Amino acid sequence: MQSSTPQSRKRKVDSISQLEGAGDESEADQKSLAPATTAAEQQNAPSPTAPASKRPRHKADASVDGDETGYNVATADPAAFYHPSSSSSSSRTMSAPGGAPGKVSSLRHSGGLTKAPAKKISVNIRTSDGGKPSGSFETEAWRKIQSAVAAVHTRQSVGFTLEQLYQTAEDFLTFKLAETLYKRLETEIQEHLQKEQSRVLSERVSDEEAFLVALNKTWLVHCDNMTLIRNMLLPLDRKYAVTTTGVRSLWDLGLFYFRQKVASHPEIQRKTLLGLLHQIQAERNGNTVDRNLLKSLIRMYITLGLYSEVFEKPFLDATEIYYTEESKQYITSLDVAKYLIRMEGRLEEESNRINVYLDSSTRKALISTVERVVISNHVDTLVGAGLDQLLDETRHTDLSRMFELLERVDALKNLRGAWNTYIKNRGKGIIIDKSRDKQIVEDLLTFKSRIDEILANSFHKNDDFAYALKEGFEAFMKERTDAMPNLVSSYIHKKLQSGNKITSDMELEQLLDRVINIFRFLPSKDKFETCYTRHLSKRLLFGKSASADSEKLMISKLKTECGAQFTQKIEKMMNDMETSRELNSDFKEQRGDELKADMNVLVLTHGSWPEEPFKPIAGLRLPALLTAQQELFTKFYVGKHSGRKLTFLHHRSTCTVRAMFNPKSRKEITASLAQVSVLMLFNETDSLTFQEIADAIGITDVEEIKRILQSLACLKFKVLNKEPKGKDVATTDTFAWASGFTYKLTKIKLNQLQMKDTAEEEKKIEEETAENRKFAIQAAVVRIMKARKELQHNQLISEVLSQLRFPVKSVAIKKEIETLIERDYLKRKDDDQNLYSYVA
Amino acid sequence: MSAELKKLTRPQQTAVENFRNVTGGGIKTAIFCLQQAKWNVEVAVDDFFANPPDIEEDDVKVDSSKLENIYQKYAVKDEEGDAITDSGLESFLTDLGVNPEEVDSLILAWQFGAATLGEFSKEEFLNGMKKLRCSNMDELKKKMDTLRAQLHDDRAFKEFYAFVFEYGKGPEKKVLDLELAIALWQLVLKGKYKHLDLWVKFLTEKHNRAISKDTWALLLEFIKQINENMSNYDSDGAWPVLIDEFVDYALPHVKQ
Repeated sequence: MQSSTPQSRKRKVDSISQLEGAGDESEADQKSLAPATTAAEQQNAPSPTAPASKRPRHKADASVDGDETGYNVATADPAAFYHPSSSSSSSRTMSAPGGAPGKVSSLRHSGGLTKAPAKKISVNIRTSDGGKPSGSFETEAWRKIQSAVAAVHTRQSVGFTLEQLYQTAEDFLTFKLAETLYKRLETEIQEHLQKEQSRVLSERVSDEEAFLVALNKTWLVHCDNMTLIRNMLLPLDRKYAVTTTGVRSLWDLGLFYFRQKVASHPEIQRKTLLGLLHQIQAERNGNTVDRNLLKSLIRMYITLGLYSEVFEKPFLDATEIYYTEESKQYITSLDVAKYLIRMEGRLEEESNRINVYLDSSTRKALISTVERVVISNHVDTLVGAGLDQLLDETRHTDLSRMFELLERVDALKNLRGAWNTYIKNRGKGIIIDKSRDKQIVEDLLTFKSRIDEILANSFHKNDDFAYALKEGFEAFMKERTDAMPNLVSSYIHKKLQSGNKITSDMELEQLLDRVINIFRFLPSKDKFETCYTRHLSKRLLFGKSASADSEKLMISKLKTECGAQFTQKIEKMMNDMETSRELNSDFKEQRGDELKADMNVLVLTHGSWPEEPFKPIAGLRLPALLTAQQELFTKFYVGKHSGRKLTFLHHRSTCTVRAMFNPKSRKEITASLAQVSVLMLFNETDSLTFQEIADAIGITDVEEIKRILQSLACLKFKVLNKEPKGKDVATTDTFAWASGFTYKLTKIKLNQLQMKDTAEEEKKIEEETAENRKFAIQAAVVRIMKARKELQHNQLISEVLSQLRFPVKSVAIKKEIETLIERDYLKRKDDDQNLYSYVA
Repeated sequence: MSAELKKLTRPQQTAVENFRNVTGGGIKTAIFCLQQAKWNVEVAVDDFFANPPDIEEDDVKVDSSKLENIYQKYAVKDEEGDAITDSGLESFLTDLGVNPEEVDSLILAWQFGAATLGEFSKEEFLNGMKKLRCSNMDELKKKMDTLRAQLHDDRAFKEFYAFVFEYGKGPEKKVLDLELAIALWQLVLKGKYKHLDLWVKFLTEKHNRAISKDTWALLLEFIKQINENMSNYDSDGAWPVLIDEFVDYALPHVKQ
């Protein structure tokens, strides 16, 4: 660039080149279009304090826009030249518009400004002491400048080279007449803008938009003019205006009078504002508007410092009115999901509006106004009935949109409350119907998975929402505190039984994890433990457990969830099974030769297994073979563990025998020991009376014998024939071996008829739970009192409550406290019956 | 008037008189307790019941042989022991002019420190008489009024009330049979508790278990602290469950 600068101008270039240094390459491209005479400006272009990011955008503007102004002005964005933080004190940093050269040059081309050859520049002779100029100099020189300024204002050819004018201005400075020149120029500008005001006011415009266009044109021309004037009188600006306190730079001077005469004129200002607001409203209504026009005028307001004063507040008010109206209309006519989509779009639009033509300082106020009007004001409706549907249908996108929008307006707590209520209601709906007990746990698992999914996908795993979920589940589980533990335990029972349809370990593990997820919310885990041991005992004793590994997997999960103490009893049961296996193999190894039939004995530790819900069969006399083997085992066991006592629980045993009904029908029958004992009687004879059977098997309870015989003669497999025939057994009946029995399979399993024991078992579980709870409460009270020595009644109650794993009323605690007082663990203080003290 | 009494000021003499009326203690005991309590009668009485001082009163002489004679008159000696019991007790009380169905018999048992219901052992009788400074039946008869009056003091009554429980249940047992508890309550609380009949009715209808010491003791507190319509009752308080249940039961009746 410098190489193209004429030699004769080197001095000026030098004087300016100190400012050089912030230029960049893209600017150089632009400069290559500029004539040599403006090179000095080029050096000056990057204002030392102007933000670097601002300049490239100006250039983009300059290269895009242009034709509409009719002046072939290279930029339609004069405000871009202006530093928004403008004030008189900082004016010197902004008085050098970055894109000026390009614009100046094109203006000169169209305006026919004479392009002076560099060598023709005349150099005025100045005395070095700055002596007095002749009186005619001032008049003459001013006339020259005045005519140039007038030419600029009237868009005429200036008639002087830039260099000549520059020099003239320089001369004014030399003769210390800068102030005079400045004052005269100021009057000139003021007068011109006064005319512009009248012109704008008198302009006949068809509509608001046309007015805006006209005003915008006036503004752009003003900017151009000021740029050119400043360039012409550069020394005045730089060496006088910028450096003298209390004097505006030429650019600011122009802005000052433009504001005063044009923009702030009440009528013009009113029309401008209305026009802008109507344009924006039209755009909100979906019409296309000239965004460049809006942008330019907003820039004008910003440049003139009128943006926040004149425009912002009315704009925000209009916005509020507009969206209040819109949201009122749509909140009723659209469903929640569609409403949110629309409003999300609206927020996007407004944000975009700021990016494109508003000032970024308005962002916060605008967005929060819209958010308040369209979201905050309707929170109750949004999280009302419509939400349940979204949750029911697991509409992740809509839900996460709602979450994000409510989060923006700080209304998540409303959504959280609705979410909690939803969980409670739906959960209660699932578990409350007793007739669906078999389905409940499966449904709960599905429900929980769905809820978890919503939490993860729509609610960003928000901690508060996770807590509301937990609280919700715990709350609705209490709707059936007594039944839920058994239902969950039964469900696990089915899944761990042989014959379940679980194909892989992975599948099982996933399922158990999900069950644990529900188990976590059970209000009385102690009751679950009771139910679980009962179910486990059924699985283990009847050989129905799918696999020991699966059992251990479940136990390990319970242990992780509730601690080692919780599974202690359960693990003991598993240990018994293990020990029994070893014991049996030892037994067979040592005494196997003496066994006539295969035998497997499970040795159960007393107290580790749930109490039997029904009584052992009194008096049952086993077939001789079994009695012998039982004695053999007892001897073996006591020999191994002296001092221990074995009690055989025959009602829990099963036995498999081979039976030949006739040569064609040979069966393997699996039955209870009592059933087999009866069948074995028929090895000796073909027919027996009820009384003969009763005498032989020794059972004392007649009803029990009836049940056994009924199971052999009256059910699906009639291995005995009863005489007379019928469904019920009488003590006068006679029974015969069913030699004609046939069945398609070889192996058959006889059902046992038992007393309906479910109600009784339920009762037993209740009692056991209640008893265990009493101990747990007493233990907690003693533990606390031992540590605290003295405690007020209410404090003791609340500490006990916090330690217990099951729900309990304070009256139950009170009863145990009384028991402990009676047993001298505690006493009341003599003078304060509410204060307990621990008796060591 | 005794020499000790003469040394006192008039208000002090009145205090001694009041003290003795309540406690039934001798002059020396009274002066000792009052001096300890800086002549505050109430405090002195409280101290007395909390921790009766062992002071040798010299103004009364009890003739042990006379007491022995009285004892022998009522006592029965057999394989089971030596005590005033059954018909002997009945005539003893009749001679005293005390109805066995009245609270007086319990007061006497309390004063004698009797251990077993319906029975005074020889030791209990002799020591009791000495303690009360009575050497014959007439003196004891006269003393009964003082003893009854003594129970107007809350502290004394509380002690008496607690004694009745122990006395009723006997030394081996931990709880008091319901039937007996009701009978004893009817004696000791007669005229002292407005809802006594309701309480008895409640126990007969709803409760068929023995009464614990705690429940026995707290019923007295309940009567003292809770007003007649039970409006100041706090079910979250430390009251025994039986009393909670009683309040539930009684509220509809009480409100009428």
